[in-house]
Amino acid sequence: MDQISAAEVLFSKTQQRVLRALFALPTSSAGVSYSELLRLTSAGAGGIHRELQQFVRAGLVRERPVGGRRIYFPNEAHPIYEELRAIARKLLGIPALVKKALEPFSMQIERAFIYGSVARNAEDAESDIDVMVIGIPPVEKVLGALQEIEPALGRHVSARFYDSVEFHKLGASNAFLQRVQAGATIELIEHAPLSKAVPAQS
Amino acid sequence: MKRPVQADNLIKIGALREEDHTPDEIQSHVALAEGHLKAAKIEDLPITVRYLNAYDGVHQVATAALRALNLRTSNRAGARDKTIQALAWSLNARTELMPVLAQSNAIRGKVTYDPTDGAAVSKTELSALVGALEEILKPARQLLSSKPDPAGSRKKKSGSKPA
Repeated sequence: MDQISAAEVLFSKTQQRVLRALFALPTSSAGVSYSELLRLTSAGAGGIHRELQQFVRAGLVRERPVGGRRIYFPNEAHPIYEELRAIARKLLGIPALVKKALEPFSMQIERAFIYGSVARNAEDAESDIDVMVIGIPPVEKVLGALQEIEPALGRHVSARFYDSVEFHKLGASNAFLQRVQAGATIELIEHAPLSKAVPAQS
Repeated sequence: MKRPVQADNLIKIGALREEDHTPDEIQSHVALAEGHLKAAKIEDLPITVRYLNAYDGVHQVATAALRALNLRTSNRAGARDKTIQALAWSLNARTELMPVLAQSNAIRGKVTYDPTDGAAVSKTELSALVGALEEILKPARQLLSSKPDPAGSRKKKSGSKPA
């Protein structure tokens, strides 16, 4: 039986897109314009408009005119705001989306994690999402999969790749890797060391 | 050789400019790329040096492809990145290859400008970039056998001045 995610059980695809843009991203609380929402959701205008109006009617989202544009904000005064934001972040936020993009390659990944400003909760709207991939996955395909989720995240995903031996060897002396290992991380995939028998694909 | 629509758009916004190429120019760029590829494969060299050679090889191929279309990037910040990104249409590089090439520009920046902090290039990353360079060199070599057609590559046959 095919597995489905909790997000798919709880929310329609359009609802997931609206929730991600308005509740799950670090920039959500600053509000999102309608055109920005369309860009982030990569969805049809009609569907997004209908869903957005439902969120507004339910009081979960507020709309305000700012400089001639309508900006949509999550309603932080709504009784379920904190709970909804926590669910959206957990199911639809940056780590969830990056993890989903990496999952097809998980058999070839020993460990993958987010590091840098996103992991430290110190990112701004321009920050890249820094991802470390340790293992022997096909670099070209993984980078392609990460590139596909960039529009939904509204920012660039920057990935670095090491095999396990190299990561630990270089990590003993390289300032960059030492800083990564000492800093905050959000774990995405963690497996036992890969068998040498798993071939790298290109 | 007909110029792709992406080139016209980049000319309109000033990111590219028109300039006829000289007969041996493309050959020089491709020869440099071949040399960088050889250096990138020398196992005695440090990984970072090999990676930078592979990156320079990619940049030479990308420049050759633009120059074959009688185009050149403007002297602006990010010109190298734009030259490499243009490989998608200047040499019809595979879509799947483009993220590897884009990543090389970011890693090259870290390695070059902050060598103590960002120098941890891995064998995996080197291998991916060398593979990409080998792939784009194949159509680049074919540029050498195609006859130059400066006028045919443009919409306007006259009136453009080399900058």
